[in-house]
Amino acid sequence: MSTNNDVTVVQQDNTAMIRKPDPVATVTPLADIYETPDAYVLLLDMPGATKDSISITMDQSTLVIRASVEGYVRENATLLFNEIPGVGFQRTFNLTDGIDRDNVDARYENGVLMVKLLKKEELKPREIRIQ
Amino acid sequence: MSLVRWNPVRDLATFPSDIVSMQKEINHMFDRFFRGGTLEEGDIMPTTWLPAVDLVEKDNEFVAKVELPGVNKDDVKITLQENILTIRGEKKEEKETKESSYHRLERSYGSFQRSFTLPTTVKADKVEAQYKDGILTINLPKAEEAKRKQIEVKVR
Repeated sequence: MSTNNDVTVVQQDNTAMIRKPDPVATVTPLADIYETPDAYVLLLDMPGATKDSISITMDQSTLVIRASVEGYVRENATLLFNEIPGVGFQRTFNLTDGIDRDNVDARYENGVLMVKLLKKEELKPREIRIQ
Repeated sequence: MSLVRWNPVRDLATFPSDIVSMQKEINHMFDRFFRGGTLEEGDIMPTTWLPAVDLVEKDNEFVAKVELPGVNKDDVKITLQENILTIRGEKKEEKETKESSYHRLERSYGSFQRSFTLPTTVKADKVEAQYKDGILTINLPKAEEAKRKQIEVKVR
């Protein structure tokens, strides 16, 4: 477990993990993924998610992101517009081999989760000099 | 009678020209629709995405919640003109370096604008808004005369 930033990243190496169906309804957060010379960066829109509820789990080949949203109080009220699902978020990403699992950076700000997966040395672009 | 092989290209060549022009017109219409409408003179800016909104009416107030993940709260402008609540703003791209390439681009960037007509008048000077975890919450207290009153009706 590494806590190099404000979001906790849990590492799991239990590949035989059985995935139980999630009892809570979730939506798939929209994501941007971009690649820089030394990292893959994921940006996920998770409006309403509370920082403490965000969990990022990694196993051999996948990265799972889960978060829940604060309960939406609807008592004594009439809904005129209802477009916000008001449920949690969950999304799974497949990982390539060249990711440095001990060096994951995650940050949550303004409803956006940023996960930075640093590349292992062999995946980084290398300049080859001509002799 | 001899059989003539059907040539789809020849059929297309003799297609009535007004149908072709109608198709062009339809294509143009779709183009305009998906580009978010033509920009008329006097328009502020084209809207590129619409944030999701919940609007709730309570006894004493309206509560609007707007999903604005990744939007800087200084880039949001809320205006109230009579009963019309307008939320507009811009979401800026926050890419780290120029030396990067996208693998996936699902989130929306750019300007947005949404307007709602509230069913009753509100106290414009008592409207409050706060932004937390990507959700903008606007509390709009109802004007006194708009609050629900219980009236007893005597039956004679």
